[in-house]
Amino acid sequence: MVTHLRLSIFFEEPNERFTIENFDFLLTKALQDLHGQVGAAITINVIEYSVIASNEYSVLISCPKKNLMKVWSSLTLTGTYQSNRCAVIVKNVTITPSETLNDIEVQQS
Amino acid sequence: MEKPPRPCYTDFKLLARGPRLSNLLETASKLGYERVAVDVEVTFEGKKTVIPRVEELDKALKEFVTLPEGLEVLRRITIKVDNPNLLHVIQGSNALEEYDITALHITSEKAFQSIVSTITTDIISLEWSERLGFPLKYTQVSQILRRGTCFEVCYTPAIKSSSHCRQIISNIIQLSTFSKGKGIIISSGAEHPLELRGPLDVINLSCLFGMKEEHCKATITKNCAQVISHARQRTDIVKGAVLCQFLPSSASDDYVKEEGATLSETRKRSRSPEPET
Repeated sequence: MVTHLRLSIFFEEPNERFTIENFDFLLTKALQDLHGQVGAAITINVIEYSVIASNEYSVLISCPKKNLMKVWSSLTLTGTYQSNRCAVIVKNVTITPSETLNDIEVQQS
Repeated sequence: MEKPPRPCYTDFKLLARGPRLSNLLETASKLGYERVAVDVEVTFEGKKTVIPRVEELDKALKEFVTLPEGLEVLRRITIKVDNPNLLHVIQGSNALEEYDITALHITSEKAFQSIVSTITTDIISLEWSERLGFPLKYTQVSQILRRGTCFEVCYTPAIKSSSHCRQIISNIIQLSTFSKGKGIIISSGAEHPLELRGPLDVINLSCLFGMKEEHCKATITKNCAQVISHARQRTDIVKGAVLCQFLPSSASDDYVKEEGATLSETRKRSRSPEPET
């Protein structure tokens, strides 16, 4: 069973070179820091990646449902990326990816 | 079918001042918080310590901050206590009652032991991001919770440093074992908008701290409401009442007759049932 997470990533300073590969690295590092090698081994797919502003990005990822808590908590406790302060906020969690596109703000509040 | 009422998400510790506080409040409102508390931290060092008046905080809030719509802002004071002998001074302070919420940040074992039985405060926080230096005991934790006081955990140190994160997780797992997940509130302790996380992120984080699913949501909703009601009981309710009543003439005569008797004897007589005539 797969779960989809819609994330928003905010940077303190504009980071225009933040690519999908950089995000993948951030995610793996966050999982490894909190849950070790077992966390880093969780399979995560990046489905969608979009730039909203020079310091704000929106990403849609999918992960196994049983590992949702691990993935979510490691993203919450991420505070910096390459010495640039950042915050990852989970906007929505759903089973199908189409739901996340419609109800981003409704679900969070 | 009607939707259940939306829970009131609360963050009890915002530390920023000046224009940054305005950004912080705006971010909190965007993330879905409906109630926040702006914190004033004081280190207590005896009678010389001046507890800042609440008017100073009000003035700062009016000058720099534009309050977002639908966000309730409370005023909170946190006093760092190291020496248990100074706790009675805090208890008698009138300046504390002006704040909506009072909290004690305990840094020593002796101070923690003495607050268990004496002090009434709304929130207690310990140095969770470092090694506590003393073991938490089930009896102490349950005694504090029984009086309606909650334990507070801030997640910002966990975001800033991985060693703090490790210590926080370790300490909170220990605390949630003793308290069975009850009476814990999770606050941000944020000074910057990027240190703030959404309510659902915080609920998920409390799962990581070893709490049961039903207690996770309570950390930023139900338990916070409990703290506010505890604070209102402390400030809004009169501390004591005395009933004055005229004694009937026969009763006053009896009192005069017993004047020579000791107080304990009189009490014994009043407790013992009167013989039926």
